[in-house]
Amino acid sequence: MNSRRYTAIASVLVAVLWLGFATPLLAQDTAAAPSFDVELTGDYGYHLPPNIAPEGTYPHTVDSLIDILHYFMVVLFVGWGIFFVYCLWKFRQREGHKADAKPIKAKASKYAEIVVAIFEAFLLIGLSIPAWASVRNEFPTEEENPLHLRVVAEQFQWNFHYPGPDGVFGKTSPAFLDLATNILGIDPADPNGKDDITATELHIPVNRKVIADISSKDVIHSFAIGVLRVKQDAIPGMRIPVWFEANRTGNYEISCAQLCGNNHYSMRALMIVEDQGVFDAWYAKAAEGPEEFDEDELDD
Amino acid sequence: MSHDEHHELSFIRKYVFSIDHKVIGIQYGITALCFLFFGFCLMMLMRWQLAYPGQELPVLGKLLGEEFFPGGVMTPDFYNSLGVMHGTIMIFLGVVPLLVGAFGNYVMPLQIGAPDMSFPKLNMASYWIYLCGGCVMLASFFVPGGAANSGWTAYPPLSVTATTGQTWWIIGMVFLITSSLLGSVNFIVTIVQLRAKGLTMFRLPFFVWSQLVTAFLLLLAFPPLEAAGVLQLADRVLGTSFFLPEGLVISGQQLVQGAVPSGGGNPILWQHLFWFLAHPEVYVLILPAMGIVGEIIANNTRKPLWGYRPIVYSSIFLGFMSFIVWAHHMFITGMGTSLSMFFATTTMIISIPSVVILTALVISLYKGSIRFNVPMLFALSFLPMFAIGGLTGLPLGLPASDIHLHDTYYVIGHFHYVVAPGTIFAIFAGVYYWFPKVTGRRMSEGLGKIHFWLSLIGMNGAFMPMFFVGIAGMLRRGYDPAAYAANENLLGMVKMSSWSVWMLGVAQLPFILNFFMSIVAGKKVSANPWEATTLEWSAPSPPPHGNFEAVPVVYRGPYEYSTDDRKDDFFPQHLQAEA
Amino acid sequence: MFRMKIVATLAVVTVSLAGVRVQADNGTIKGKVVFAGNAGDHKRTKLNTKKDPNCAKAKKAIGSYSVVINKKTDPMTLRNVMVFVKEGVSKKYDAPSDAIVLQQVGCEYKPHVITMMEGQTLTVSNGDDTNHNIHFLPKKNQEANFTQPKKGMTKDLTLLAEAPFKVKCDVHPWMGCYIAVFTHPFHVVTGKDGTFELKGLPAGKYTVEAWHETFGAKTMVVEIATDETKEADFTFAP
Repeated sequence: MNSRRYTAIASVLVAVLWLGFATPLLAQDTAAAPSFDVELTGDYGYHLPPNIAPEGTYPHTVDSLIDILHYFMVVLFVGWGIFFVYCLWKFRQREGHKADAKPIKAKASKYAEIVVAIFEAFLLIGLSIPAWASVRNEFPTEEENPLHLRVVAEQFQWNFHYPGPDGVFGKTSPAFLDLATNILGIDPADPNGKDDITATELHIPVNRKVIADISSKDVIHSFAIGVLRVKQDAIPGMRIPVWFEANRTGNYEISCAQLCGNNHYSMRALMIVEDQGVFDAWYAKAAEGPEEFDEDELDD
Repeated sequence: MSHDEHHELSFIRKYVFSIDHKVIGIQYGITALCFLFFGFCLMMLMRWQLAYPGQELPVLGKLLGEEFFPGGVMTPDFYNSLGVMHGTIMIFLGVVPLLVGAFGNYVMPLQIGAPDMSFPKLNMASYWIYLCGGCVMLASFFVPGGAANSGWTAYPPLSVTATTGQTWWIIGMVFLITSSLLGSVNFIVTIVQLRAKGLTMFRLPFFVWSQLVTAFLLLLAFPPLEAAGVLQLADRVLGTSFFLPEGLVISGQQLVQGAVPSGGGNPILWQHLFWFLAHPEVYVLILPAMGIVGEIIANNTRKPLWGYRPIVYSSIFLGFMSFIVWAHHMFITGMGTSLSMFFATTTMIISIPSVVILTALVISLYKGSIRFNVPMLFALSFLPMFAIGGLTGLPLGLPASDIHLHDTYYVIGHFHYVVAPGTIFAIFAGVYYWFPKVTGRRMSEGLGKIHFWLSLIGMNGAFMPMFFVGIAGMLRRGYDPAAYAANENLLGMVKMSSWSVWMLGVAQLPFILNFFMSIVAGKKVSANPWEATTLEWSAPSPPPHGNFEAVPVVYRGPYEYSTDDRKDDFFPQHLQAEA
Repeated sequence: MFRMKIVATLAVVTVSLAGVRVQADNGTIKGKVVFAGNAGDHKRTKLNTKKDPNCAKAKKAIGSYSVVINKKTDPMTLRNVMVFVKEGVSKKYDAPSDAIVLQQVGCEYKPHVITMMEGQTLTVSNGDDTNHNIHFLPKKNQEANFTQPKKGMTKDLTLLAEAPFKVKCDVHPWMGCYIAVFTHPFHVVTGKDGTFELKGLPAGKYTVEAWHETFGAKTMVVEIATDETKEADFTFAP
């Protein structure tokens, strides 16, 4: 009897020491700072990342769904847990207590199960499906003047292909590919391709809808913009469109969410949301093509 | 079968190439426990890199060699290999063989009053094929480029273009799948054919039911993966393009398969074939665990399992539904609204039988007389842990919330709650519970309790933080979480998780000690130390070849505890009621 | 009988060793690689390295390398051309003991073209404050593909003889260089003056090749006598 009590006390002590002291201390230790110096906009921590989509669009439904689900889960778990702990205490084996094998009518649990099922149905039909339909089907129309671009993934880089001022993408083919100077393989003979922009940072104007066609050159990647709740696998052989809109300027991160090889972890790109004017200036400059390289000055 | 007892078998036939289900069960058990621990060690290595990215691994870093640890720092390739091998070893070489191969093999024939499995030689073949598969997996660490490093899901084209380790992985998987198929056929036939007289289907212990449903899942879900594995092998070595689309450019060069450019295949096809196995696989991992927990709860509450029939029906329904939910792993491949709606709906539906089983197990506690011995502690903690695992499946099953949570640590937290403090706790519960049957001795309660409490703390310390960092957007399978500026504030939580994992590792030492010491020095106990009702406890401990001294006859349901005014509060299935 | 054989063998060995010493190989083939096209068609451009802020920090700009013309020489010459003896070497040569270093600095490979001998050590080192992934794309050698996540990491490799193949960085796709491996020491890469010199050749008839990553290969046959120095110019006129 005594040894049992000691084990219980010791366990509680370890639990308190571990979960109460050691781990919070560790949790404050964020010494391994990232190795690059890009200031991200917004507040990141143990909560959902900032959401820079306009109110009423699907990224906010995603957030509210996550919120509601977690409140629901906590309520369910706590209610369930109270019953669980009550049973453990009340019906522990002891002198003068005997089990009662008479069948129990557990009406409450049946009702609870029905309520849970109805609530799940509501979340599914009321929130999830409309949001998904918005992701998949409610693409901005041409009147809304969306920005079109292509996202081409490769090991281990995101390439962004803008059509340039003429609004038409040049033909691409692996035959023209050059990793240093023509990473997308744009046909040099195609006049539409002359002003195409190849970038490794995603520049988008603020408050304007964007349609991006996601594809991959080699393996499966996943195009993820955390702050816009966008995640779409980039699958070779397919070109899958996504749409999004940002209403806050700043620097944000784009990540690869699908294991794509040894450097998957560093397949990161910057998303720069800027005012239309700034964006236009960048767009015009980038469409001119790369600058000439002055050997005498720079090469060694 | 009983005439076999008269033959004096050689040592090798008796203990190595044995066809006795009990010996095979023990072989499975020991092998799988070793693999489980090995798989866990791989994770402890990975957690170093996550907690202290790019820092030299103390002591071990130098020992593990320049190939994978240049300057004592783990390479990303090796990190990815560890990830694949951790997943594969834990699931296919650890947990499933323990649940099905060890407990299923040892306990199930005893519980149905059979002298052995229907096909003892098939049973032996199943174990040896499994061991071959395991050896191939382990050997793959030593091939050029190391073990497979394309994720345990092995998505092509990455897996097709990966290093040689991937070929070994596929071959290993083909062995493991074959082994499971042989086992599942054997289980189904045994349960259907070899039940003792009077043991009707609805007098079967829930554990046997869970094994039956699991066997059907294995039988029906594994062949597609085996076929897919062979196709991927062909893509890798024969130059076919089953999973390779047109125009692949790898490292700036067009991919040539054999002599012709790749093309004509579809990488998504693999995902469908893979998840068609891998979702039922989740229920392969959880159903027998529920079976074990059910047995132990009934025994230690000293009252019948509440809602035996609903539980059985739920597990059958669960098994059936598990075949039509697989694509909820693939929402973000670009799935359309109607298809995603279908899979989200089936996913919500499948949560209902799980809730029914869990609720039934909790209600079984009500008005019981609960004994808190070590198996019961593990079985009880299975309930809230599995509940957390199950609940956190909801946001992943709804396509909209999955957009944000997909491929984050939230997913890792979710399925580890199901499998680690869930299933693995059930496994520990089973080990402590049936140990006296296997050895005739009991494991130490004191060491068992230390093992339990430390494991409980370690498990929660390791997996709870994953939900927080997952919601914050930290992606899984990242070699260096510090590569993203957005993760900067999360690194502390990652560290906490790592330390908890290492503590969990230390927490297994009392178990290992307890396990081996008890084999030789454990307290000797009677044939039925837990005062249980099911048939395995009517056989001597350990049961002889052929299991029962007299062929058992069954007179009643599996959990007749405290049901009448007998002197004992339990009424074993094989005892005839006094006139 | 047996002893006789040994004596005879020893004698042959001694004579042949002596022979090597006496007859030093001093033939030389030298010349330049002329560029006779329009330099305006092959302007170098700045590469886009914005992806990795650490690269931009390390170096202001990196130029495209597919064609590098030495405009100041007269006539204009080509840089980064491998010139080597393709056929005609019959002797065996040992690999030099000093390692060849392939450095990654400023998110560029230095040097851009490497020629080396079979069995010679190639040391790949990361001199950047960022992660590099070295990916060899050979036909004959084993495909090497490894990561050097930290500054100062090095790795030694040896390679089998192979025609020029590409090496790239999977993290920074613009980074590329070329390696060729030979069984003899007669290979050189043109530099800022566009000249080459293959020294120490025994008398004989050689096929010499000039290989350029964009313009391909050109060969010519050169016959030299003992201690002779011959001039041979290659001309690329795209």
